[in-house]
Amino acid sequence: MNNTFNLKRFSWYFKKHTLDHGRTYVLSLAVAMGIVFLFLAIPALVGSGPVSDSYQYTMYLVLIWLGGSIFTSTIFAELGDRKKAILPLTLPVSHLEKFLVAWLYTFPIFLISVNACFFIIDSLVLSINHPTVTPFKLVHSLITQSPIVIALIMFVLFQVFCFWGAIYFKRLHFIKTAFAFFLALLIVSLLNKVILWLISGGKFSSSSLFFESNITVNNNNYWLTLGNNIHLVQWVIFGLAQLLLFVSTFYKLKEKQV
Amino acid sequence: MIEISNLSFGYGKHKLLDNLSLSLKPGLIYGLLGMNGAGKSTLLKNIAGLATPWSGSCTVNGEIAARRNPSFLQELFFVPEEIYLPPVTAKQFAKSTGHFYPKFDSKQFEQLLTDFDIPADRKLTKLSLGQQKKAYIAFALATNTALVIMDEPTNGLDIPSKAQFRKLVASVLTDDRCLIISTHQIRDLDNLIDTVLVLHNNQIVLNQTLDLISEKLNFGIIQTNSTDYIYAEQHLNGLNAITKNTDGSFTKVDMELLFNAIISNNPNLITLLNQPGHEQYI
Repeated sequence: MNNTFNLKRFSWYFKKHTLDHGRTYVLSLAVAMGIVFLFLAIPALVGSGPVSDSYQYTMYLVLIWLGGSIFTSTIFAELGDRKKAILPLTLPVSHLEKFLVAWLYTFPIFLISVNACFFIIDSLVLSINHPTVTPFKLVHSLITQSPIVIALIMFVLFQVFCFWGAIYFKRLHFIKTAFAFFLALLIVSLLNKVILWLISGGKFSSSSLFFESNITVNNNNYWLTLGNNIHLVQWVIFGLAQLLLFVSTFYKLKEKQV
Repeated sequence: MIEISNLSFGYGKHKLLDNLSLSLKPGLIYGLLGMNGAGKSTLLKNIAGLATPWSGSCTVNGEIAARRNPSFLQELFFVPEEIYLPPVTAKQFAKSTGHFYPKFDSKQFEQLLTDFDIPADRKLTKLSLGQQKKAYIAFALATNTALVIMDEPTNGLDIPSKAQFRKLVASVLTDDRCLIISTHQIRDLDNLIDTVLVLHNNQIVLNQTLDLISEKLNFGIIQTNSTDYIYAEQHLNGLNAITKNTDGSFTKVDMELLFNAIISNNPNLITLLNQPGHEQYI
C-alpha cells in the first residue's frame, strides 16, 4: 500500500470533504456574494453614473484578500477542536492527501468560484445603470486597467500565511494569524533597519521595505536599489517564503496531536 | 498485536505515563480501568497515533502508531468519549467513509443500527447524543478493523442500550480482532471483557485475564471478625473480601472490589496477580 499518495483514496477523501463541508462552503459563498451585491448595488442605484472601475476593484480586493484569508484560516479548524479532530485524524488518508484537499479548496476552487460569482454579480449590477457593459468587456477592462496580477500575488501570500495559521493555531485562527502576520512584518522591518544601520556603519537614518531603500547620510539622500535584478530577487524571496510556509504547514499537519 | 515499550508521555510538565510497557494480543476484549485523570484516554490516544510519545515506542502490528500511515489507520477505529459527527445521515456517512476501511460491511452496519434502534435516514446531527454515540459505535464495529478502541463508550447510553452494547460488542469479536474498552463505570463491562488492564501511578499495574484472576483469587462475603483476606470492604452481611484461592474453587471476579484493592496500593495483591498462573498450586 502506498502510504504517501493514492489517487483512489485521494478522490474518496475529496468527495468526503465535499459532502461533510460543501454545504457550509456554499452558504458562506452565498453570504459573501450577498454582501458584494449589496455594496455594488447601493452606489449603482443611488449614484448618478456607472460604478467606477476603482470601486469594483476595491470590492474585488476586499473579497479575495479578506474573504480568502478568513476562509483559508478555517480550513483545518476541526483539527484544533479535540472533539472534532479525532475522526479526521484517524481517517485512513495520508497527510499529503489531506494537505492537498485543503489546498485545493482554499486556492483553485476558492479562486474559480469567487471570481465567477463576483464577475456575474458585478456585470448584473452594472447592467442596472450601465446596460452597454457586457460581462466580457467588464472582465477585459478589469484585467487590463487594474493590477489584478498584483492582487493575485498578494492573495497567494495571504493564503499561504493563513494556511499555516489554520493548522498552527487551535482556535481564533484568523485573528491569531493576522496578529502573527503583523508581528512578523514588524520584526522583519526592525531587523531590516538594524542590518542597514550595521552595513552603513551607523550612517543610515531611514529606510523603506524591502528591496529598495532610501538612505540618508550627512543630510544627503541616496536611493539604493538592486537595479535590473530586483524583480528576480523579489520572486526568489517570495517563492522561498511560500515554500517554507507550505513545508511548515505540511509537517504541522503531519505531527498534529489531540 | 500492540507492543508498547518504555513509553513516557504527558502534557506540559505533567507526566501521565512513565516508562510504561504493555503487550496486547488479538482475540481478546481488554477493559482498561483507572482513576479519573490516571491517563486512560492518553494511553489510548498513544495507541491510536493521536499523541506522540515523549520517549519509548508504540507499535500496532509492527507499524509505528504516531506516523498515522493509512495502512495502520485502516485497521484501527477509535471511538472517543466525546464524539462529533458531520451533518449527514448514517447511510451517507457509511457511503462516504466506509470505503476507507477495506473490511467495512454496510449490511452489518445497517443491522447494527437496527439493533441499536437508530434511524439510518436521519441526519446524525439531529440525533440525541446517546443515539449519535450508538451510531458511532455501530460504524466502529462494522469497519471490522483489527483494533477497535473505545474510550468511555457507555457514557450517555441508557440502561437498555448498555446491555445491547455488551451483546453487540461480544458478537463481533473474532480471533484476529482486539478491542480495548476504557471505562470508569466498571459494571458496564460485566460479562464483556476477558482481560483487565489497570492503569495506576503512571503504570499498567495489572494485565491479566479474568480466568487467571479467578484462578488466584476468591471474591465473596466473609465474616466480619475474619482476618484471612487480602483486601476487604464493609458490607451489610460482613466483609466483602478478596481472599487467596487456595482450593481451586471458582468465584466471579468482582471488578469494582478488585480495582479498589489495586488502587489502595496493596502490594501483596499486585505481586500475587502478576505471578505466572498455577504457581500457587504446584
